This record gives sequence, structure tokens and C-alpha cells, in this order.
Amino acid sequence: MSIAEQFEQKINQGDLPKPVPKFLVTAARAALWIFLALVVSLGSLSAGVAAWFMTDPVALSGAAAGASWVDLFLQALPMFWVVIALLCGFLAIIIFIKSARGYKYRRVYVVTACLVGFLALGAALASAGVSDTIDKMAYENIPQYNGLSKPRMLHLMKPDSGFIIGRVQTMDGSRLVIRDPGGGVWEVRLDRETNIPVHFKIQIGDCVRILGDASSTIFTTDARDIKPCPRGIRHMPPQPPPVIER
Amino acid sequence: MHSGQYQDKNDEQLAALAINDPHAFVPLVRRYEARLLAYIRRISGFSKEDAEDVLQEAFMDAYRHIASFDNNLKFSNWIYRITHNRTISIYRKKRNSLNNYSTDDEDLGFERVLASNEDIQLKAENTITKQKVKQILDQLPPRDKEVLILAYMEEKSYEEIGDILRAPMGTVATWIRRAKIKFAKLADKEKII
Repeated sequence: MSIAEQFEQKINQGDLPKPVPKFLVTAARAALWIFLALVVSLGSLSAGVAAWFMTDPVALSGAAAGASWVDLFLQALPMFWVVIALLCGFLAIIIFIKSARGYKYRRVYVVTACLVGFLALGAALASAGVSDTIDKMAYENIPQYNGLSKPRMLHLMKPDSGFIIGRVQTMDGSRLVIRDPGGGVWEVRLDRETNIPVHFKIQIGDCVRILGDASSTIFTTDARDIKPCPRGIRHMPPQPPPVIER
Repeated sequence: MHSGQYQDKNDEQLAALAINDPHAFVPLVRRYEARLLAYIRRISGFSKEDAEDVLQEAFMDAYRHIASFDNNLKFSNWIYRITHNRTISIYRKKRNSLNNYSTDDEDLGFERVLASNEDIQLKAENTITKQKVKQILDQLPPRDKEVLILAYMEEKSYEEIGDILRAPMGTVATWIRRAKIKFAKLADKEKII
């Protein structure tokens, strides 16, 4: 008996299992494409935030005296966003290749298209100001994000070299009081020589970065330069004051 | 409805009809049965009985997933892909208990490649050549063997091979080029060309 005859016999005897319904196939395909769209969106956003951090002119300028450019680059690299973007990129490539017709394209083209697409979409989102919002939302909604950003913030805190970073607590014409990432409170003295960017209007609650003269008095400095905190740090919530043990 | 009423439909139309009526799948089984049986035996070396079991499972798989058949694809490529995957999966399980098979008389594709001047005197030699071709194919890595069989015995185009093996056309071309070089080296060693 041929296979066709055996097949027909099964049909007549009612032994043939029912095929998977069309709507299930359509739903599975739709779910796959929706998942791909989500992965691409998240990946593009992450790439956008990472690129936004990296292109911050404040990020690298004099971050640590004597540090090499490689060190500076690695310290400024927003690993959290880079890892998310890479994971999403990897997932997007796998999903696309596994899709019904994805095999028709060479892997090298898919990977290149993914990289270019993520960077282009990311750059568009960053220029639309979305990256800043995402960074702020991450601080507000992901408790671990604060912990991930703290090492970067501490890296910019080098009082011995005259670098201080913190959030403005109070201010008047000649001084600022800021709280640093460790919770320490600093008095920052301003004078006519203090250089503040024209467009930067300091307000209470702002995160500021100060280049000053190391002072012999603890928690006091004379500011030479005041700049806004680098991207990725400026939305960091205020740190609690240090616990004083008695 | 009886399967005889579907004879005038093409493969893709039958696949669409089979979603709602299993009888529409029977002509498809009839059309591909012999070709796929030969293909299974060529790539795996299974006995006729084992190959029939594999093919039956492949057709059942295809029927169960008939709704996922993409109408932009040729049904022939789709059924070859399912059969190929099923064969490879069973081949891996059975690798240690393989039966030998005799080279099919239809395997003329390689003869065309190896001897373009077919004449009566060569026919006797070709019988021996067929055995040697099979021996060489068996010495090749599975991927090389598969692409050569698809290209020269099944006479599939690069695009069709790509659809069957789920690979881009450029990659298929590279595989075939490499496989041909390896085949030629082995053939040279065996002195059959």
C-alpha cells in the first residue's frame, strides 16, 4: 500500500489528527512580530540613551586628572544601557532570522542593518529629548538603577583633586551648599572669578559639578568652575545624610 | 469530498484547501511520494522501509502544520524542507545502525556532471561510477553531501535549495562551490573523473 493510500485510509477511518488551526498560526506570527517590535524599540531607546551619555560634552572634560582617554572612555561608558542595547540587538537578530522568511538574508546584512537601525533610531530619539526622559524614569522606577549609577558619580567625586559633585541644598549670591554622593555637605564659595556657563541657571535641587581649589578646611572649597552634572547622573535622587555613630 | 476531485489543482491550491479538507492533501502525497522517498534514501542511506516510515512522519508533520505553509513559497520546497529536517533528525538518532542502500537508477544528475559525452560504451562504466559517486558522497560532510544531492540529483536551483535548507542564496552558492571542490578532490583520488 502506498503512503498516499495509507493516508487516505487514515482519513476515512478518522485516525488523522486535526491540523493546527489557521488562527493559531496567525496569532503566533503576530506575537513574534509584536515581540520583535518591542525588542527593537527597547534596543533603540537603550542605544539612544547610551549615545546620549557618551556625547555629553561635560562627561569627559577633566573627569579625573591624569587618567588616560581609555580610562575616561570606559568610565563614561553607560554599561547598563550598552548591555540592554546589545541584548536587544542579539534578540532582534535571532527573532528576525527565525521568522518565516528571515533566512533569505545573509547574517552579516542582518547584523549590520540591526546596528545601523538601532543607532539611527536611537539618535533620532535622543535628539527628540527622549533619552533624558528615559534616564529620569529609570531613576524613578528602577531602584537598582540608582545603585548602578553611583560608581560613575563617585568617580567624579575627587575632593583631593578639587573635583566635587553634588546636589544644591541652599544658595545665595556668594555660596552654595551641596550634598555629595556620600551624603557629605559642602560649602562652595563663589567669587567673580568663578566660571559658570551662561545658559546654566543654578537652582536648588540641581546636580552640579565643581572644580575648585582643594581647601585645607574639610567640606569647604573655593569654586573655579561650576557645571551641570553629566548626563546620566543629574537625575540621581538626593543621597541621605551620612549616619553619625556615637 | 473525495481526493480524486482535486487532481486538477496545483500544489499551492491543494495546500490551501487541505486546511479544511484532508482529502485535498492526498494528491499532494501522491505527487511527492516517490521523489521524496528517493531523496530520503540519498541523503540518509536508510533502507526502503525506514525511508517510508520517515516519509510518513514527514507527511503527517506537513499535514498538521499545513496552516503555517507560506503561499509565497513553493509547496515543493516546503515539503522538501520538512522531509529533510525529519530525515536529518532521525538520521542522527540512527547513525550507528545505518543500512546500506543501492544507488538509485534515477541518479543521473551526477553522471551528467561527470560525463557529458554519454554514449553506449560509457553506460557500463557509469554503473561502476554511480557506486563510486555514492562512496565519495558518503565521505563528504553532511552539509556538502546534502547540497550536492539537492543541486545535481534533485536538480533544485540555488533559490530552491535556500528555501529547503533555510539559507540565503549566496550562502548556498558558497556551500555548493566548496562541496564541488571537495568532491572533485576525492574523485581525483578515486580516479573516477
